[in-house]
Amino acid sequence: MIPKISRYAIIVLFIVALSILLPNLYWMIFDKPIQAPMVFYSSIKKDFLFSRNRSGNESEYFDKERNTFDRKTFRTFLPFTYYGDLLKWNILPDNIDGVPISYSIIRNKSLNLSFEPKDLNTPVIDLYPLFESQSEFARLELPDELFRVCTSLEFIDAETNKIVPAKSKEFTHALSDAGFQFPAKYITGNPTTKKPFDEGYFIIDAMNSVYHLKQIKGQPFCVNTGIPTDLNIRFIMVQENSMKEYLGAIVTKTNEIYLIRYNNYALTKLPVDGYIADKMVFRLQCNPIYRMVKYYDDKGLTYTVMDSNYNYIDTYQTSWTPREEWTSSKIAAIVFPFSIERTSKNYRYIKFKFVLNGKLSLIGILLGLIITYFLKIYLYHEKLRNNWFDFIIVLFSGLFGTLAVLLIRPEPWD
Amino acid sequence: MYKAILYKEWIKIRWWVIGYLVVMLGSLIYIGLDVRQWFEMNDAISVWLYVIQRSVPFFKSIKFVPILAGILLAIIQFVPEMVKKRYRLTFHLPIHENKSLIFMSFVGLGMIALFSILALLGLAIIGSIYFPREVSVASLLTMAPWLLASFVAYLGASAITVDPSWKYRIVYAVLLYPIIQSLFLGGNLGLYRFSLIRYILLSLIFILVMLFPGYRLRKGSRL
Repeated sequence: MIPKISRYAIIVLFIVALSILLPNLYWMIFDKPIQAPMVFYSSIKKDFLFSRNRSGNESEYFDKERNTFDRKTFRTFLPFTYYGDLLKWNILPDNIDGVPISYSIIRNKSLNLSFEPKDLNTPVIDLYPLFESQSEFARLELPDELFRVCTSLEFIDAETNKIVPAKSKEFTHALSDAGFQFPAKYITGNPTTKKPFDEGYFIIDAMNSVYHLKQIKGQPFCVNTGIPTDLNIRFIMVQENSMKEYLGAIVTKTNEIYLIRYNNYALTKLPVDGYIADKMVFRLQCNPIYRMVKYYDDKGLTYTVMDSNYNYIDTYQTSWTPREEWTSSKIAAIVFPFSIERTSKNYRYIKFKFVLNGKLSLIGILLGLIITYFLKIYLYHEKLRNNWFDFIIVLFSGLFGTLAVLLIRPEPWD
Repeated sequence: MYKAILYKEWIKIRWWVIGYLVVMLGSLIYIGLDVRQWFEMNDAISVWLYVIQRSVPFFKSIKFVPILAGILLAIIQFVPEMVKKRYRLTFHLPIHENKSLIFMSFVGLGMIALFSILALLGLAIIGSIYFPREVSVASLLTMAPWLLASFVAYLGASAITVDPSWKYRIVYAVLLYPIIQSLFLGGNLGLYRFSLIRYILLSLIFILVMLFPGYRLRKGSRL
C-alpha cells in the first residue's frame, strides 16, 4: 500500500513539474507581442493620432480616418511630444490656442505620472527617510535615520541601529496632537533625493484618516488632510513636481483614481471607467494645454483628454484580440488542462497558482483517458482494476496525467 | 535497531557534518564581514536604503550553499548503500525496509533541519546587529525558500540514487528541476511572502517519494 501511495506522490509531483515546464516551453515558441497602436492627442488637429510599428523598424502614422502621414508631418502635429524636433526644425509654434509656447514653458508644464499593477503588488519594507523639506541647501539630503509608524512613530538611527528617543517622542506627539490614531495602516511617500523638493509622507491612521507628515526646519509638520475616510484607499503615489498642481494620485479599492491637489488636498476624480488596478498600466500626462489619462492592458486601451481644469474633452477607446482568443491559446487549453503560474507581469511576488484553462481542456482530458486506456491494455497489458486510480488522476490532469501514469508505471504490487 | 542504523548513518555522514559546519560558519562569518564592510565604506543610511528600496538581501552569497549540501548528503548517504547492492543487507534486518529507509531519510532531513536553523540563527544575529527588525524578518523569509530547496533536493537526489533504473532517474530529475527552480525565482526580499506556505506543502509530498524506488529496489524492478 505504502509504495503505491509513494508512486502517486511521484505522479502528482511529476504532473506539477509538467504543468510548469510544458506551458512555459509552449509559450516560448508561440508567444508574440501585441501589435497595439500608440495613441496621441494632437493639440494642432484637436484629434487623436496613432502610430503603429510595422514589420522591421518602419512605423506607420495615421489618424482616425486612416489618413496616413510621413514621420515628420506627424511630429509637427504633436508639438508637446516632439518639441525637441520642432525646435530643431525652427517650426515650434509660439502659441497654441492663445497659450504661449516655448521650449522652457513646455519643459516646466509637462509631466507624467504613471504606475502599473506591479507597483501595487510588491513587497514593501515600511521604513522611510524623512527629509528636511525646507533645507537651506539646494539639494535634498539623506537624513541619518529612518522612521517606522506602528504604535508610535519611531526614528531609528542607521549608524547605531537604535531608536532615537527624543525625536521619536516629538514626532509621535505631533501626530497625536493632530488627531492621529495609532497604529498606521499605510504609509507612502516618494523616498528619493532625486526630486525637486520634498513633501513628506501620507499616513493613513487606524480610523482611515489620511495625514500629511513632513519635516520643516527639524520640526514636525502634521495635518489631517480631510480626505474622506470612506474612500477605501488602496495605493497613493506621491510625486513632487515643479508644476505644483497636485501632490500625487490615489487609487481606491474600487478602481477609482483621484488626484490630490497641491494646495488644499482637494480631490479631483479622474475619468477612468473600466480601469482595473490589478491589470492595467495607468498614465497621466500633462502638457501646457491638456491633461490626458491613458490606461491599458493586453486587451484594450482607453485614452481620455481633458483641459487644464480636468474638464472632459474627448475619449478614444480601442481593443484588440485578447490573448485568450488566439488560436495558439485554444490549442494550449486543449493540451494543458491547467498550468502553474509562478511569476506574472502584474505581480512582483512569486506565486504558486493553478490556472485552469477552461472548457476546452475537457477535449484534452477525454483524449488523455482514451490514450491511457488503450496503451495500458494493448501495450502494457496491465490489469486496469488494480490501478483504477490512474484514471482518476488523468481525469483531473488530462494529458499531463496520461504522460505521468504511462511513464511511472505500477509495479507488480505485493 | 534504530540506534544501530543511526550509528551507521553517522559513520557515513560525519565528514559531511564537519564539512558543512565549516562551510556554513564560514559563509556566515563572510556575510557578517561583508555587511560590516558595506557600513565601513558607505553611509549607514545609504546601505539601509539600498537594502530596503531595492530589496537586496545581504546574504546572497549563501544562496546555493544549502541546496548543494542537500544533494551532497543524499549522495553520501545512499551511494555507499547502492554500491555492490549493500542495501540489500537491510532486508535481513528485523525491521521493515520501508521503516529503515524512512528512518535513514529522517536522519538526513534532521541534519539539514539543524543546519537550516543554524543558518537562520546566524542571519538573524547579523540582521539584528546591522538592520532594523523589518529587514531581519524579511531576510529570514527570503532565506526560507533557499533552505526549503535543500530539503527537496536532498529527497529528490536520494530517490535518484536509490532507484535501480535510469528511466526513473530521469523522471525524478525532470520533476525536481522546475520545483527547485521555483524556489530560486526571485532573489529580492519578501517575494515569497504569500506563496511560501504552498511551496512548503508541495515539498512535504517529497517525503513519500523515497518509498517507491525503495520498493523497486527490493523487487529488483527494471521497468
